[in-house]
Amino acid sequence: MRFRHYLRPFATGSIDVMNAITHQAQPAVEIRDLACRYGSFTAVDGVSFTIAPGELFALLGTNGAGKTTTVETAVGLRRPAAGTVHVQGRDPYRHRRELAGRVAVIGQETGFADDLTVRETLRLWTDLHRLPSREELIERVDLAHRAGVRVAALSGGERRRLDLAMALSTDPAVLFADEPTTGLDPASRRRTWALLRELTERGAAVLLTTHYLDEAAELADHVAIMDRGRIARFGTVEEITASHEARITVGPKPFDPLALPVLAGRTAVSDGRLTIRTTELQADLHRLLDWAARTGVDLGDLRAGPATLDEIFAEIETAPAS
Amino acid sequence: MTALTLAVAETRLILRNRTVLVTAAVLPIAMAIAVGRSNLGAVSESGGSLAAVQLGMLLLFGVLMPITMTLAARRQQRYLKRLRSSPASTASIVAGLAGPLVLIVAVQAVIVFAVMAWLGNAGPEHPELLVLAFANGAVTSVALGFLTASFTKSPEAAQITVIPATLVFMVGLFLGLAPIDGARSVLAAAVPGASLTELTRLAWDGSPDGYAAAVRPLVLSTIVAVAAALLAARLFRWQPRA
Repeated sequence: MRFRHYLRPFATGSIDVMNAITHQAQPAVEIRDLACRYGSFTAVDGVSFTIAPGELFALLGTNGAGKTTTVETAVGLRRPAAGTVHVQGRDPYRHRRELAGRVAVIGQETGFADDLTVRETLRLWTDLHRLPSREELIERVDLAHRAGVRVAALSGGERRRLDLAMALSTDPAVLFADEPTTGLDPASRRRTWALLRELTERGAAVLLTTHYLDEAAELADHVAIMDRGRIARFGTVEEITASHEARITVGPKPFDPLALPVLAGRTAVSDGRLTIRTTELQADLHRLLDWAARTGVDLGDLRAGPATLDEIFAEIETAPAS
Repeated sequence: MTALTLAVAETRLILRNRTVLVTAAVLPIAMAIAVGRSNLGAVSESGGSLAAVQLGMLLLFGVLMPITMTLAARRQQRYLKRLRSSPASTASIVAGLAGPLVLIVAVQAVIVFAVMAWLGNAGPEHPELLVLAFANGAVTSVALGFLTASFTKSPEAAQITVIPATLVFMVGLFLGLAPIDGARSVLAAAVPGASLTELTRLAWDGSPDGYAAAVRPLVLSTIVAVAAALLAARLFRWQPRA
């Protein structure tokens, strides 16, 4: 199923992410104008987005951007100061128990009783959900050799993997995963990605917060970048990167920038490398290559591509608060 | 059902944590033996007063203190937060966490009261009132434990933060040892433990007025238990402060 998304600037300057659903499917998660405060500090300010069943939505942002507060509110652990949150059509704060069987959470802190073993912890979780034991998941997250070990003795990565097994054990319709791969080695990260993909293929909606931009690019159908409590960018990875200037770098070669052909983009030279930032990547690249061929200039290490999420992230981070 | 699941897990955790195990299982019995062997004057001579002191000490050391430590530890581990994201109701979480400690103290109370009855050649006059006193006391101690844990950051800090509730409970305990009348009855109504002590005394010794004498302490101890539970429900935090 496909959904058409568009952006609509708010009067306040924040971005309201409205998903115009082209048919009658109910969103798995629907957040409108969410605001959360700690005393006088506003942690989340006017955040809106929806997540469809089978969609993986990545929420990016620096520490303190408001991601975890957004997730905790969506899970029903906090009451919003303003706005509405609906998960599976229900208010998660008021219907926490009703949703608990359909919603799973991987939090930043894993929340285990340290003196229970891995097997006991998973068993306790499935028992609380009145589900049959899912011990095979211990193997799937590569913890079979640690099944009888107390949680206190697990490494950070192993605790994360146990957390993932617990989330998967309830076969959730919605998964809130708050930085689930932090502290994992590359192999475990890839295994986690595969399990998340498997979940969305089964129709579950996933809200993923992450610091890893490559993770968002790899997994997410849609990405929102939060900054100081607001959504600063929203779209697919391609849409977000396409909305920023692409970059062509050349060099390091000593040549006169004044001799360059007329380009649509802005040029700058630093450490002998020429950087062209442009909204017309293909046309400018063509002009540059044509000029190099005509004049016999060796462009050296030529690189061209759209803006990366890292660059956009850095740009948002350094921008003054609106 | 979920309460039972949690209680089984909690029992495992108590058995695996030496500090909590000693506090919950050994300390109350040690205190009971100490109280039984001490010469407490009029208290030692009255079966009802001694039973009230024993019950108060058991609840204090067997429920209030360990539940405060347990809650602080589980909250620090974010285990409580995790439980709140499960389908378990608040009531079943509370019952699951407190149940094993209350059960241990119940067993200890049966043993202590049986020994008392054997040594004194006289059991409680109204065992059913003793059961009600225990139930009220258990609810009050659990509520005070939750209340104390509301402002307790860690299990280590519980050793300090539990002092105010302990003092209040002990003051109530000794207020209730003498007949409560006149101006003191107002004070007794407000101090957790006082009506409970009076009720336990009446349960053991009986009264010329029969059950009628137990109505006031029963109502007052129930009000104190409910008030403590409501206050705890309002103030208790399931996760550490951000």
